Amino acid sequence: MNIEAIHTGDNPVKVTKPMMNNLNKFNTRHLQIEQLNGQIQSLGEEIKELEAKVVELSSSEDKKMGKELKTTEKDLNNLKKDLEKRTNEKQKLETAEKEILAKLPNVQIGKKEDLTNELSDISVEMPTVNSEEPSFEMPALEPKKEEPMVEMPSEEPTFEMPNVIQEEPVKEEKEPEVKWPEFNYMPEEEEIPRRIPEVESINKEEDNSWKELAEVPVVPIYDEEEKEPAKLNAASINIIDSLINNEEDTEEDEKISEPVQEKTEEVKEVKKEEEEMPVLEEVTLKDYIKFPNYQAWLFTFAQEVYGKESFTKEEILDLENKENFVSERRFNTGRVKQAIALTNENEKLIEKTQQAIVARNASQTLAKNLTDELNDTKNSLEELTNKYDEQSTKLENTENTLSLTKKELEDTKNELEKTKKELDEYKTTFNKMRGIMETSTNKKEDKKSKEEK
Amino acid sequence: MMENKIQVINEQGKKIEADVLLQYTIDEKEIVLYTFHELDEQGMETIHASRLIKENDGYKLERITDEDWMQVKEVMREIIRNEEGR
Repeated sequence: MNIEAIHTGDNPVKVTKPMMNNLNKFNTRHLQIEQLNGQIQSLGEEIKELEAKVVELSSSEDKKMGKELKTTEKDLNNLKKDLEKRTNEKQKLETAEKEILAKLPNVQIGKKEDLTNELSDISVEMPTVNSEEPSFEMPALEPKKEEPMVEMPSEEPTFEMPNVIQEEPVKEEKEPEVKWPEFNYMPEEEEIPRRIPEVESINKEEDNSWKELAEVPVVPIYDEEEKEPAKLNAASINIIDSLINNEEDTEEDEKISEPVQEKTEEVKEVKKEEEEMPVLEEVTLKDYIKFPNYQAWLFTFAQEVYGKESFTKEEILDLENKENFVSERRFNTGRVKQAIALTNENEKLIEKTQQAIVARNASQTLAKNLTDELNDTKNSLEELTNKYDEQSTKLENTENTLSLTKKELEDTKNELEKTKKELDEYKTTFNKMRGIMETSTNKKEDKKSKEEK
Repeated sequence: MMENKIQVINEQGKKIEADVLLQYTIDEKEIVLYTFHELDEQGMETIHASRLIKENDGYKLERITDEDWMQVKEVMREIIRNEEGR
């Protein structure tokens, strides 16, 4: 899944490992959503095919198909469960992504078009070199809970000093005293801000950097592997150094102004001085929570030890020999890691609980649906039974009526037979009577004729 | 973990593979964040952000203007901030 692109320029920025992990997390989630989309589509098509097969097998009268029908129905149910599971998973991921993107309304994540298509061969060209002068640009101080991002140089360089413990210019008469500015404690409930100290400008004649000391954030969290012990603002100095060292020499680089060069030299001297400082021991958690800003803590600790508000360089360096003095960075890392681990555990527990609730709700819904279906089936069965009874009664009545009618018909036939017999008898009797009458008439006529003679 | 990669052709014509961290579109502009996994002494990693432009014969990675760069940084911060603790 590669695309090729000719590089003509970019905006580099440095980030800590936790920040990189968060970006990776976001990207991984989006890729998972895309993968699940594809899987859900495939499952949908498979389910349709199986449903069609089930319908076909159900309508078949072949008894052998019954076994295949059961197997197919079982496969279909399994696929539906799988589909539901992936759909739920996808919805959960999409919800999480949408929560983040809700704050970025104009942003659409993903490819504008499918960049995974193979491209035709690209002829390798020598791109135009970005002749702009690289510059060192540190991000502005941001509200707490934001991650630091260090930009790579892109324009004319403006070297600025990090916020370091400095002394006033050494006078020949006496040792200069380090003046610590006022600072604000961070409340206990606040999270430890993880930022790169802002690079500030220095001026040998007028050192106003201490005025901003209170707002300088803590150095970012480093990896688990053992690093060099925290030096006062070493991180910021190192960043500047790396930026200086990684830049390619160009003609314009050589035109760096003298004041800028002087500042660079000063930065290196301060860095060297700090590297010579001894390793510090651990403080107690209670102390560190109260004073998350290391320099602020150092100032307060020095106040407690010496009972005054300004200190010499030797006094600061001597603090390490005092009881309970610590390596702020090492402890900061440990404490924050503990907090993150606890938070992660809690998040996992919450997630598990939510999943269990969702599963339980799904089961309850399914049980309810099945119960409703069962009730509907019962009602239908009852209706059919009633209809059957009704029809049976009707049939019985009809049969009874038919029997009666048959009997009546039989009676009528018998009646008819009887009447016919009677009629025949009457006919016979009538014929007899007529015979007798004819005989009697003939006799009378004979007698009459005899008398006339 | 699924990965997207991009082959970056540099000034010398050499192809270097980079991992894509994030790709999104904003105001019709396509932005790509990628990394060559370069670490400095402090263990900080460099992310490269470019505007991805499609041309007739392929793609080009271009520098993001100053005006848009503030917006891109804000997107990165917002994502990083909201992923914290998830």
